Amino acid sequence: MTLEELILNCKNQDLKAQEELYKKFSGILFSVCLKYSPNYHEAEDNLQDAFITIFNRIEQFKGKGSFEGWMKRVTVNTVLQKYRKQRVFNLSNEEQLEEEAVIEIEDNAVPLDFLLKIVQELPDRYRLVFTMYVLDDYTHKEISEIVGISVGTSKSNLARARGILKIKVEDYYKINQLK
Amino acid sequence: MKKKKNIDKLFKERFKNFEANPSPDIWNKIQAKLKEKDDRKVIPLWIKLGGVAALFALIFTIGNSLLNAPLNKIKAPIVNENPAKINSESYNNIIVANNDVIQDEIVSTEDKNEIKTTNEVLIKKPSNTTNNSNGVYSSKITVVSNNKNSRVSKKQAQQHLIQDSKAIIKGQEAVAKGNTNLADKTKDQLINKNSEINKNVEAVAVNENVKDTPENPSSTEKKEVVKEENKKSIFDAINETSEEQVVIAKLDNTPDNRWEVTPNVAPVYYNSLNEGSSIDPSFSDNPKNGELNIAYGIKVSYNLNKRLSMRSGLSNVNLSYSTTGLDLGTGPLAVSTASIEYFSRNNVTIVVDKGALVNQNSDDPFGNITPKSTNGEPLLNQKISYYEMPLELNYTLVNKNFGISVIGGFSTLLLAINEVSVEAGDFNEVLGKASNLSPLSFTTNVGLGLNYSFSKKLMFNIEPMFKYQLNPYTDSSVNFKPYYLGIYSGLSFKF
Repeated sequence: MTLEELILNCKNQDLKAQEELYKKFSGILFSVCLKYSPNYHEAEDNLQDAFITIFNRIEQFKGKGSFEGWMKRVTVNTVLQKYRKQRVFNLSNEEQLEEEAVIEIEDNAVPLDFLLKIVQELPDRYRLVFTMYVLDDYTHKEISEIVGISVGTSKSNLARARGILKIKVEDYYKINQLK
Repeated sequence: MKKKKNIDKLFKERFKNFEANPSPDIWNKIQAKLKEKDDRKVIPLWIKLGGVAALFALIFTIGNSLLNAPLNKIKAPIVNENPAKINSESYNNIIVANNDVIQDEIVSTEDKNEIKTTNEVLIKKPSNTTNNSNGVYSSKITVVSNNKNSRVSKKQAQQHLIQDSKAIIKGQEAVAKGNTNLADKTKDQLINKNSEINKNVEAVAVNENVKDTPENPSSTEKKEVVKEENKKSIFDAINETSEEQVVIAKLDNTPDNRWEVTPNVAPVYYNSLNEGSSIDPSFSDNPKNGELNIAYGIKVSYNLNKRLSMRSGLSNVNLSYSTTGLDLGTGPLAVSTASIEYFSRNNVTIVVDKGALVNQNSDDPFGNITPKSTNGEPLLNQKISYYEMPLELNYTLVNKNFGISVIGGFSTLLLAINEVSVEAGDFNEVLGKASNLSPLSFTTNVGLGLNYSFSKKLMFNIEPMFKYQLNPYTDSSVNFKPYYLGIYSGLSFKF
């Protein structure tokens, strides 16, 4: 079955087509959920919700642009709805924030699992902003509109997220260098 | 080898081809949720049908007594059906005219029935969705493409359609022969509908132009964003998905709050649909006055979905009505009205039809009622109070800040207070209670719900309700068909 046929059958609520679509794209969309969710368990819940939304909305996919891109956006939106309302209290506004964080490290010294774990451990809004900006190439303007924060807040959230991640990566690196 | 690395770059590189597989049972959960949604779609339909059935049952119940004039029944369908037929045919002509513009030479169809059906689709759309010109536009396309498939000459098709229209218009004229007013009315409607269609076609044309323009600013905006941030813009995508969200929100039928509690109070007016008396058949033609009383209680609703809710509760309904045109007398219990269960066992106040005491035969063993002189017009009052437990369906027609709904259902009535009294001037006496009232009876309810939401949790309601009593009396020979009208108002708390 081609992707077009698959989409058409999904539009007709064909369960087999829906299953095939799930099998085909669950890996990619689950990675999206993992990046935006605080843990594995919630990522799975979000994946479920995202697929339900996709199947319900598939009628609205008119073939403009890539289907995968459309599904990713639906997934990101589904996850964002859950976490964007949670507040992050900035306790150290006076602190000077670095625009860029640089670390000295060897290639592939830090495993992907660890990087994912520390992204997930970030406070909700830091995680959303960091993932959107760094991993999914959203601009601060877009983030501010989608998450419902100002561009300034988006930038400061990103800087804080970077700061936290930098410390954690450095700590990990140091510990593993000593071993 | 150690090297300085931007933290963004580090994450970006590592997550570049990141893909992970969820646990295998996730699909089962999704499947279960999809099925659950399908099931949910089925249940409300049955409940809706149930609600409609309840309303129909009510209409048929009261229909017999209300709609006794057979002429109305015959006239109504003629007026409603025929204009529709003629209009459909005239639309067909208009569509052929449209096709003339769209296609230069060939307008066609395999057979005229087919064009008729496709055209009918088009006809429905403009009248339903006057604002949604896109819908009209897409339908128009269907007609045109159908026409292209099978090639019969334009003239032929037009002739068929025109002949059809003529035939039906002739038929219509024949039907309307006896009634010229009706024919005039039909023509007027035709003209109106035609102008409506023309408007729609214009709207389509305008909309097609408008449709193209918004894309240009968005694409320029897109370029600006790319320049500014050197990143791809997804504004279009966001707009698209947010539009989709709105649609989904509309489709999502799950109510925000399932439960609703409404303490309410209502003035209720009690009366009978026909003449007759529940107290004594001889009072059937006496003037009777329904009185305004108060009902109060609490209702609990469960929202099955955003439109349909089921509700029950408990309320106390006080009803009363008075009969006039009477004379009062005193006499033994044996000659008293049978349907009054007197509290006293000796000589009692007896209520008789006006003039009955003057004509009484002194030899008659029952004619020993002594007239009672009173300084005012005697009134026989019946007071009834019920505990009412309704079971109603509420179907929301308008679901905005200001809402409108229709309500239909049944109530169970438990008799609480039952009192018959007389008053005349300063004389006032409770005689006893009516012996023929059912301790348990039912009503069919129908009403209109108007509400105003102050917030998601708080709502003000006004509900004019009509409740018809099904079996108020134990004695089926009583020719008294009571109903009560109430205007229930209250505040709903949702949770």
